Amino acid sequence: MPKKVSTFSESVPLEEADREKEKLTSLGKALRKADLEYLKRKR
Amino acid sequence: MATILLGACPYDPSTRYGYAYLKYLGRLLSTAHKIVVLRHANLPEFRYVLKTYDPQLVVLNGHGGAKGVTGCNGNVILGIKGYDPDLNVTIYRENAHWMQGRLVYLFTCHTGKELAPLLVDYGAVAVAAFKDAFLFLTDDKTNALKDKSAKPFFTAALQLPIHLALGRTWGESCEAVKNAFLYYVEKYERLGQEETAKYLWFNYVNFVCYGDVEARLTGWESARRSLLV
Repeated sequence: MPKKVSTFSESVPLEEADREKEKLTSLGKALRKADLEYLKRKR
Repeated sequence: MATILLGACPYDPSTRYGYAYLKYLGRLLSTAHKIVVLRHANLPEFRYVLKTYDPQLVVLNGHGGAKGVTGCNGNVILGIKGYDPDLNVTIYRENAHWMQGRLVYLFTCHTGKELAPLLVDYGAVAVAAFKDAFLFLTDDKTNALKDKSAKPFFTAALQLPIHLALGRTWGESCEAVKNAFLYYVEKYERLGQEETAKYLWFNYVNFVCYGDVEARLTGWESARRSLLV
């Protein structure tokens, strides 16, 4: 089974996560924020 | 012995995971505390179990927004008045006072932004929640408990009720959640699995606790003895 990234409301296959980030869905927004938060950690 | 209410709604692929973990948690803690599982959380049933069992700790899993938590039929079961942009609903009647005198864990997305701190203003002893979406990975298994990708996310998040049940304070139990998320972030970074580490980190950053950090469940001494045997 392919891995999925989920919230309690939505989920997408992990390989489609980048495409989801371009959308204005709640999950897309959260994925974008997760990228930014993780960038802060890595700096 | 304290009464713990575990509310869920396992009818979506994602909330099925929340329910499976809450049910498992209920079995673990049932030797030390009275556990009430509300499988089909809707407003009338939520009100009924609160009145009937008067739980000291309420753990709710489901769809959440800045101002409310929805139940199985999509109606808000706990909320404050106003438009909730995350749920895309306007809440006309509020019931935040239902949490008065209780410890509350909103294991949902977004409720840490407004609802959680307001519940404390309305009389809840302490409240924990996530300010943004709770993100987790799955292998999309039929049995959620056997899903290795999901396990670190739910294990970390559920440290709060586990530590409370063992007699730790609210503050210590919140710290346990933070520590567990951080433990898994570092573990997956060491393994080179940064995608997993990133989503665990997001939950770590967004987990918030409000209220009385010294609060504990009643009967915690005997509960600790029976759970640690």
